[in-house]
Amino acid sequence: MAHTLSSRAALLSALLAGAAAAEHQEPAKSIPVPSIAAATLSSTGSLATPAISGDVNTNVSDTTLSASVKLVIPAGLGAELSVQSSQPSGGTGALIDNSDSIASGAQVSLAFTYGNYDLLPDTDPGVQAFESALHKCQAVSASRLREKGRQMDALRERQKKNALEEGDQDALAAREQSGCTFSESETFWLAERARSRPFLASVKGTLGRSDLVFLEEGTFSPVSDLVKAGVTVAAGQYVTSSMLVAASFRWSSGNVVGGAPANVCRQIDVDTAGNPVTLCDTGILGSPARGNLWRIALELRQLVGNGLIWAPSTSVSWADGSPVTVRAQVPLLFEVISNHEDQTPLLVGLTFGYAQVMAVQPVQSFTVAGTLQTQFALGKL
Amino acid sequence: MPPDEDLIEVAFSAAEGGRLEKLVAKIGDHAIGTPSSPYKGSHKAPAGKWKLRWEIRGTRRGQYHLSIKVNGEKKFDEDISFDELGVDNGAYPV
Repeated sequence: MAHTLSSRAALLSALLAGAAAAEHQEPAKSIPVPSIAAATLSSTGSLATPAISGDVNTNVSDTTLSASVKLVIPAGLGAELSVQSSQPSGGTGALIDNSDSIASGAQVSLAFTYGNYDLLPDTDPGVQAFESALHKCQAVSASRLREKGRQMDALRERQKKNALEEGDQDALAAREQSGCTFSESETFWLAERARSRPFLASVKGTLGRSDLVFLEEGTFSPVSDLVKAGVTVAAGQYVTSSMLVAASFRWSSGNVVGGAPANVCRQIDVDTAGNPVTLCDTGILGSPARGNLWRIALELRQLVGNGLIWAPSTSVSWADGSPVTVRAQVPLLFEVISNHEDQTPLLVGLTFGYAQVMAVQPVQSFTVAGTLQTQFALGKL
Repeated sequence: MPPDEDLIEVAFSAAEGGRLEKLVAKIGDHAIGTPSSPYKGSHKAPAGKWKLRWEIRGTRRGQYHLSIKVNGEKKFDEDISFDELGVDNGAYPV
């Protein structure tokens, strides 16, 4: 909320900057969270201790800072309290907010999560093939088996070039005798097919209020946003040990009135010299109105390797009395490697987003947002 | 006379450049260890008729340490690498 007093303004000057934009819907500019559908799912590297996480997201019109305290216990119950702040430097600001995160304000959430991280059964053909390969190569784990595969590739390469070195012939004979003749590619897939593919699910409830300000019709008095309560149900399935397909459904009850913020000045008094005293406020024109907000999202999240994560997603969201908004986004994130056990993980990257409001006159927007995320386990602070 | 049962003691811990995030380890149907650091557990199983299997996630290209003792005798005590995805899985004995 922005109040400014002026005794030099006219009787009632309504500086409706962006008022025209308020008349039609635009895609909400909430925090460009890298994950939509999988956001509420616990990662395979789940926390066993309370943690503090921090995010900084910035795009062309907003920089959002968020800090949250998360508590996740092994039984799969998680609680999260987050406070978020937005510093818009331009653009039209936040409109209807239909995401898990709020653009700016405070929010508390509680999530129940489930994940079946059990190993595949001993009788699984993938497990049996992997263990047979471990036995043939006398390797105790996948990484040791990969090393044997790399050695085999090198031996074969030298054999192909007629450049065998001393001992290579014996090594090849030993490999043939033991059956440890796998290439590196074969060892990768032997290990991959023996790995579990967890199913994850979560139910998350959120309660929060944004710090948006509305200016009542007629009086232009500032009114706070409504409290928003929502429930998100999400499920995800790992299709490989590094690729997750997730879907989520979200319902919430909150404000469904959108619009761009406008700066409105109104007379509130007359000073001793007879000049009008005005009060200026910035807010969305109209009063907030409660309604239902819905969102369905689908996401593919893949750890490509060497720390690169990409997670293309698409979502459809709508609110009572508002047209449907379709979104697509592709976050490209990089996990900065840490060489120390106690080093906190750091995720940096860019999120490319596209949104379209399916109104009579469709409105489109493109965004590029930067992301910086980190997390500290409280026990190690 | 050899014992009817083996006491298997297993410990996973982070090694150079490694950080442990998720471990599932089993001896037969029995899950060992808890998601805390260091991961440690023991179990009794019929002598010579058991297998330890595990799946571990941590720091890509980092290392973890695995120690296995059977009836107090050290059988395995080495650093093992995570792959480029930060995952490794294995079995003992092979």
